[in-house]
Amino acid sequence: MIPTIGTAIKPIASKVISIYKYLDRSIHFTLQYTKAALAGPYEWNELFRQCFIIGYQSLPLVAITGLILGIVLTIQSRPTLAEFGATSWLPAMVTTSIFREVGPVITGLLFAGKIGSAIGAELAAMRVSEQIDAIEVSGVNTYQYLIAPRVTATITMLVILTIFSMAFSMFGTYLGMNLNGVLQFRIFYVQALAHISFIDLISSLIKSAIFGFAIGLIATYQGFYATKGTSGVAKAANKSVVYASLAIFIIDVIAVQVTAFFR
Amino acid sequence: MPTATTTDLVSIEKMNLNFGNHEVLKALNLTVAAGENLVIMGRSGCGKSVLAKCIVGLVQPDSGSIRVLNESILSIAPNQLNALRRRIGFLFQSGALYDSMNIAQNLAFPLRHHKELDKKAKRLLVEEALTHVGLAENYYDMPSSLSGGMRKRIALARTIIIKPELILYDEPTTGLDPITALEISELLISIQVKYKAAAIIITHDQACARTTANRILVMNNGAFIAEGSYAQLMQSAIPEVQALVHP
Repeated sequence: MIPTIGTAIKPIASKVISIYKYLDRSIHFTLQYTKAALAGPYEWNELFRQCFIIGYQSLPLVAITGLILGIVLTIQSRPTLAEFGATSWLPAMVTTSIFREVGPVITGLLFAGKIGSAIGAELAAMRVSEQIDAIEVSGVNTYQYLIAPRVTATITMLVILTIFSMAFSMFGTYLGMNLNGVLQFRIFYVQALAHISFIDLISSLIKSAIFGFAIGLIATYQGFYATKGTSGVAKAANKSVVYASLAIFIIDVIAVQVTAFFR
Repeated sequence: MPTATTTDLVSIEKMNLNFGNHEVLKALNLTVAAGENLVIMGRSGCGKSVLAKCIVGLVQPDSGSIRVLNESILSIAPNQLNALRRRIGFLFQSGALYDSMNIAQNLAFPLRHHKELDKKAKRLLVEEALTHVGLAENYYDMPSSLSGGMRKRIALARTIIIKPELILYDEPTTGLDPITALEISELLISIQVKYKAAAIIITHDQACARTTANRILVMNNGAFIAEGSYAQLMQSAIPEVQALVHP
């Protein structure tokens, strides 16, 4: 049977409408967060609680990962540089890659996995068990109480933990250097930081802040609009991680282009 | 159905709501007078809980009007809606206690906008509400450590702590054993007497309806099909009503 134009268009139109509704809701959500974050009043207690959960409790993971990353990058890069007789460049090369790329991106991906899934699942569970409805019915602005503290804490803590990650990675690099001989700590840091510019550090931290914004916003959105049922919680956690990880790579590509323009 | 008067705390006219192609609420008219306990009975999925959520603005109907405490819910600004909600209590079917807070923090949460109350006054209100539901010794417990009946009582205490002018109870006795359900029903009566608040009680529990109702509306497939006292509904010839009210 040949489908009529009407029946052929119907699923396309329905898809277009659902995409439009999704975009409309996403924009509304982002604007509501921005309004709550900029205009206040601020939920300081909730913000500090989220900073503790998101930042302090993620510190061991970020530190260990950073340390191992520094050691591994050094060990993996040494043979290639040795072929050219350029092992003295090792501290500078590894540190540059840590500052410019590996530090922010790996910490961002760790955050997308650990914090993105936690926020997505927590808010989805609150939605499923009607706790978000209960907050709204209490006359409390859910964007001020639930969304703004989580997104703001994610941005702030990701920037701070990226600095920690870089520091631990550099220490890992130093340990990696000392596996094949002895290199003085002071000489290592002079060599390592010789090629790091102000723009390397600032661009990395700005990039981390944008990663944090994306992770926080995606995770809170997925949790806030979770569908009912336990499968809704699982979906929200899963989507938070997948979308946030994808967003990190997309932002990274754009950030690299923008930074190259200034460098 | 009765027509709205200026003393009505809730007045709904010709309210319709569809979820996709499914008609959830059909041309509903409803009034609740001051101090009245109105029970809405109906089978699961007939639209009772959605109606309650429309009254507090959690769900927007497609058409019709809703006036609550002399404010039009559908045209009110978000800040005014939040201010209005602080005068309304809502007991959720699941209790909806906040997992991350202990019992005292759960109860104090609705008081966060009552700036005129200092810490001591808030603590006294929490203790009073807990005493009213018979759980004063559970002040520092976490919700996860409580039984279903206790959670319901705590949720009830959180609902009444702001001394609301209107209270909506969504299935207050669902999932409870008959003895605990009766205790909850008696609590609803005591709240009506003590706080003089009007209430909409959504239930399919015959005992709860019989104990608490001043007036009962029976809902079927999104529309009201009968109204009266429990005794009057017992005489109804409508099969859906008979199925709900006869033991």
